[in-house]
Amino acid sequence: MRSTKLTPRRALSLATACLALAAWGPTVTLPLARFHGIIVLDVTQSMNVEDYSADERPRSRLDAARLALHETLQALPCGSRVGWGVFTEYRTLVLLAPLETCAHFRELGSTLDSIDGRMSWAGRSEIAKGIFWALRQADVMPDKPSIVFITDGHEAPPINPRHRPHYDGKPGTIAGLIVGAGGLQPMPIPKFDPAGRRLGYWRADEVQQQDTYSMGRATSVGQEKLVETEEETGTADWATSGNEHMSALRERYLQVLAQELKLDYLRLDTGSAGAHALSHALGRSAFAQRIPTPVSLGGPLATIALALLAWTFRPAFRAARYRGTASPRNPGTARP
Amino acid sequence: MSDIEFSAPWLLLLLPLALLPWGSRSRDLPRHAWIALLPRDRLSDAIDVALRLVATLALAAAVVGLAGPYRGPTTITRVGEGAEIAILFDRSRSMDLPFTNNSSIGNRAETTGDSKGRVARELLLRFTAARPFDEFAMFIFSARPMRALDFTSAPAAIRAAITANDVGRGLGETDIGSALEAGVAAFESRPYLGARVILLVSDGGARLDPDVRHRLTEGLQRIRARVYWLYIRSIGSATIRDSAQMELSDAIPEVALHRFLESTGVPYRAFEAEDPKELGRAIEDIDKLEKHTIVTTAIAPRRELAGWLFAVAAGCAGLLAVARLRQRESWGAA
Repeated sequence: MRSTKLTPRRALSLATACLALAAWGPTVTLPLARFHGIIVLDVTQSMNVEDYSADERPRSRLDAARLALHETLQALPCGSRVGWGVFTEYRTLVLLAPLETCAHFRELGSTLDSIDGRMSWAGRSEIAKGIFWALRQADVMPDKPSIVFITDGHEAPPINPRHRPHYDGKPGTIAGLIVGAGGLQPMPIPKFDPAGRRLGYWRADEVQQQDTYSMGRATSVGQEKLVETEEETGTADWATSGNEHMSALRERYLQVLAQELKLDYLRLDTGSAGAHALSHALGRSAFAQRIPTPVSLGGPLATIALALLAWTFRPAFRAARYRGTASPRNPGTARP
Repeated sequence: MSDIEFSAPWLLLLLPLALLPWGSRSRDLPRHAWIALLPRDRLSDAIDVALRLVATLALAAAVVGLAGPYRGPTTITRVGEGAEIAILFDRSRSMDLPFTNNSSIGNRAETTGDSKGRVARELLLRFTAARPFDEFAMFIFSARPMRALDFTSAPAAIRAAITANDVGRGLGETDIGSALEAGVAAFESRPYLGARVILLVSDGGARLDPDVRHRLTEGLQRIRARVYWLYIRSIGSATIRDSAQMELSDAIPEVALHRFLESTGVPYRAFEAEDPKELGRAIEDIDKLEKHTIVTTAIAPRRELAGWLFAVAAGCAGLLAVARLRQRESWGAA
């Protein structure tokens, strides 16, 4: 039996074999976890509030979300699949089914750019129902994508915390992330016409300030309400503020929704920190599906070969000491 | 020709490894107590230098290969038979209803069979898959037009834009005028590459405002579009099939739209389909009509060059291994 000691000759032969294999370019297909989901953007009017900034310019919530998503598209590893959806009224509309991100970077980016407030097909913004809708749709899709829902939580018309819409599905069957967009300071909501022209800001008397239950019926006597008053219910601060023409991120409301629906919650921070946090959150295994991904073996093989070559040609510090004397590998000339 | 780039350029910091073979004189050589007394041999010296060079090349090639060099992505020009096609797809709720044919009038027909939208989507999938040189853009519309996909020939993207409409029911209202305007706008910012087609898929028409009609007529002529209307006819809806029946009044939205599109001065054809078979034939007809030379650019994926470098490194390492075989490990043991 020959010795298994690594000699330069063996190292070189092994390196040759590894490099030849690497040059041939073998791949193995591994089931790697990659993000697979539909990212839904709220395109209602409150998303036009400019409480973000980028390049020292005020940016709307929708702009900030788009910027962060562009960075996220770049950050997601190849094999991830992203689809786009929009939310208005009480429902979510899928624009593009999930697509592999690396091969379709341009297509995904250009569809993302075209998502704006002009897509909004109705004036209402019933966010809870929109999230329910997205989850139900994901549940009937064969590939069961996860749902990422980007919104400021501003319900229009306002909701009554005691009479909130009810989710009839089973929470937790679809993994999801609610991304809260907006600042905590209420800001005026820009007003646009359907063609996207700006018409100033919404005024207090132009929007519904109270939820439908508290308003009572048209036939109610003397402002009689259909529900108890605020004092009786101890209205949570995420419900009507009485300032519905102003908009801030209703974070507590979104957190309550996330908790009830077993979704995660993340606040979208401004700038690349926000984008980084978002792509990091999307990397979570709950939102991923294991899909067969070809992985190149060229790199590892070449690394082994490089190590063998470097070992073979390592500087001979120790050998220098023996120069001129007997080689330890050469017992024939060793001194007795 | 684009420059060569690296996917992991920091690995190039390992390049000094290539100098390793020049570090020692002794290790590579057979050792002998009297080696200093051996006569200098020019041939041996030359071989020694050559082998060190080969070793340097092997190490350098392996390091550069590991850094992941690539060229591209490059744009390539493709010439083929096809067109640029903007699909305007009706997402109104009526598209969720099944086809109704004359033999099964009534409610029973509404509860059987695939919806108009689903059949149209299936056929669009077949149509787009059969036309690899086309550039497709996809708009869905109800009250507002929404761009689901900008012009692309990537088959998976086109499929994703069409199948996205399988999910969820349709929206309430329909505004065909703004959808057509979105179709015109989609071409306006693009260079003219070849035949431009606006393919409207809807189950109803519309009477357009005079100013919308004016803008559309101008726009369609400006972009030199051809317009096809795939009219998926429902029970009780008007027919636009017979010119003889065109005495029908403009009060019927479908007739109004048909007449308007005829009046724009751009090539226009309507295909009326009452059942999936007719819809399939209409799509085949459009396929036949739209065979023009189109010059499109496509993005060629980047070309990885690491394989070549690994091959060079393998060659060098192989040469060194062979050289070792021929070299005497020692004077004594031989």
